[in-house]
Amino acid sequence: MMATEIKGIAASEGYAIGRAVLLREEAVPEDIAYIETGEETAELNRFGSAVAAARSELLALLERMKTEGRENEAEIFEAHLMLLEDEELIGAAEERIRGQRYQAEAAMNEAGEEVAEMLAALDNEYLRERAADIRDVSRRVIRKLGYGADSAKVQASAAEANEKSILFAFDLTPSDTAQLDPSIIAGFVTAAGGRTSHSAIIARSVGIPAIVGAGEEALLIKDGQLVIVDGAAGLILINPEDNELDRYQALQQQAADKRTLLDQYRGKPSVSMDGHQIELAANIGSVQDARQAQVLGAEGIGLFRTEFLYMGRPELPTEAEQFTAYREAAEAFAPDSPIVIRTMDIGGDKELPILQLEKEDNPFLGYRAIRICLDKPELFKTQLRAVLRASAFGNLKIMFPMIATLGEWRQAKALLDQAKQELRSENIAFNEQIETGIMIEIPAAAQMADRFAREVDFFSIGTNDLVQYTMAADRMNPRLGYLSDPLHPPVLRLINQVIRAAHKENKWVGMCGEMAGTPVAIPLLLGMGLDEFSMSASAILPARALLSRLDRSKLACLAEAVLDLDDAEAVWSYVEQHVPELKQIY
Amino acid sequence: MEKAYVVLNPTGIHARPAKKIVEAAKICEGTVYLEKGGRKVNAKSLVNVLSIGAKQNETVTVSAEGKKAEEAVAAIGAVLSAAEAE
Repeated sequence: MMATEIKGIAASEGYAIGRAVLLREEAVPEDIAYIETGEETAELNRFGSAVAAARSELLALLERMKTEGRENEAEIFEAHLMLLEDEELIGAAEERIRGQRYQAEAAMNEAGEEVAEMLAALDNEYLRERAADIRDVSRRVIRKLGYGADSAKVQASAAEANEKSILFAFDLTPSDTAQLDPSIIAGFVTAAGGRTSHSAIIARSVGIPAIVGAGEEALLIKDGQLVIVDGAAGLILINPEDNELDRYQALQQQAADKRTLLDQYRGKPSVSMDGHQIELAANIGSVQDARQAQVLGAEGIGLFRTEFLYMGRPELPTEAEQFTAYREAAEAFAPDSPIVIRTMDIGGDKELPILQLEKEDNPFLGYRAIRICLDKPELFKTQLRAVLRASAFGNLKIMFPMIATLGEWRQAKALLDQAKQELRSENIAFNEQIETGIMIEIPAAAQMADRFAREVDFFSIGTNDLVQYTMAADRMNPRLGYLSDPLHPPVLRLINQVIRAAHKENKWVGMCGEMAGTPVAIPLLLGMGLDEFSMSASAILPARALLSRLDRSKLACLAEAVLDLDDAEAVWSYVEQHVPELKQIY
Repeated sequence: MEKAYVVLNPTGIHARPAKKIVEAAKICEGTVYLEKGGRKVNAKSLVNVLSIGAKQNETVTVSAEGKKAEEAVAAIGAVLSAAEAE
């Protein structure tokens, strides 16, 4: 047998090796069957019960997903629920039963196909993918009418084989994908679909390697053929040669070894080889992120980007709503875990229609974050009250973004004191000792760090903006990429200065920009004495693994030496050369 | 009442915003329509909202009649002009 290679779209990373199982198209009614005159009402009732049954099935699926924290997927099925009430879909099927005496199965099938084809013809990839959602919904109803097999057969046919299976199908409905059991199905390949199809999204969240859009030739596969799915490259290897098989087994082994290595650091403190402890926290934008960060090994939250609670909605979030979000984020972690809530940073690249902000020539240098909050104290106080109230339920800390002057900090602090006073007079509990700090992201504040340090409880360095303001380079401009590197010595000097200023006043310093999770930066920041590193959750375990191999006492010299180098490039190679431990992890 | 909005979402009105638009349309107890390029559809149907295929920078006109029409139009407008990518 010849080895064959098929190229598709890489939809979900990872490597899978297994035996092919071809899922034949689920049976749908091909010919239109009719009912007799007079049977319309009975048929409409039968159809109505099937829709109701489909609805309860979806509700149960949703319930399960929510309890398992699979909220991204749940949202897909919420849209399906909405489709089950849709006039254009369900109404159109009913019309066929009522007006044309179609049997319910045929009516649903035709109405579903009509809508699916209409969407598939649109000039927009996202919308074309929704055709699969329409078919999923109409097939669910058809199954409830007793036609065709249940999609659970996907699993059953695969489970018969003892080896892991690679599922091949023309397309997988989101429902099919969500039910895949990773212990049976090692990976899947579909002929249709794109990276944004819901089955691809679900595959990524379940962690099954997947390739979509592989074309119909992928369906020429025979059951039982040996297949390799390379979810990183989007490659399918059918009947691979031995050397290919060896290569992929080695890749699988490497990936597994790395997972095992990192897993040892889950739930462990973050300590360097010579016993210096720091804190590894996560940057989040929602309660859901908080839960995920906890699973991925975060010790707390170093940056809650609260503006996401404000965005993508017609009205401002209420105090009660914000309170719930902050409290739930804290409750995702063990009691006393630090949870830093940054007050909203709207403006810059993040718009909020309800505030009707004027378009600016330089939004990053404009009316944003604390500048808006100090100008609209009522808006600000709603948020401050919500954070304070949540502080009764966890170790919350408040952080003000975009502070440039001592005056701004004092004004923000005064508004916080007002909010505290209001809560006291209303007898509402909050943490009287709540820590309050500022983000250092404007060079002005970095230069004045010694003065700020006397008044604040902590600093958190926001490197994304600090770099763009120090280097005067728009970080959205791809042609200026060489200036947007946080390892440029002028930026490192500012960071070093901020850490020293804080420690002199016995205050702690964190960092919540991309830099905190950048492998090469970690030894430098550790050497400078940074106390808290906050990064995207997926970077935490590798950072902890690296930390455990680093000797902090030796890094202070390294951190000092790089301050005298020419540019970021020189710093990169200097650190890579002097910290061989980086290669063991990354 | 009637009002025109420019779609700011970089990926257009795909599944998630479409769902929010239907939810917003249901605030109004009367009829709510979306119109783009001469095609006018019922905003309470997810299928219909998806079918106008509105992309970034295209203009969509929202019209509504009946109780809470203004609220519904404003809510739909907020979804159309949300610039966040998903």
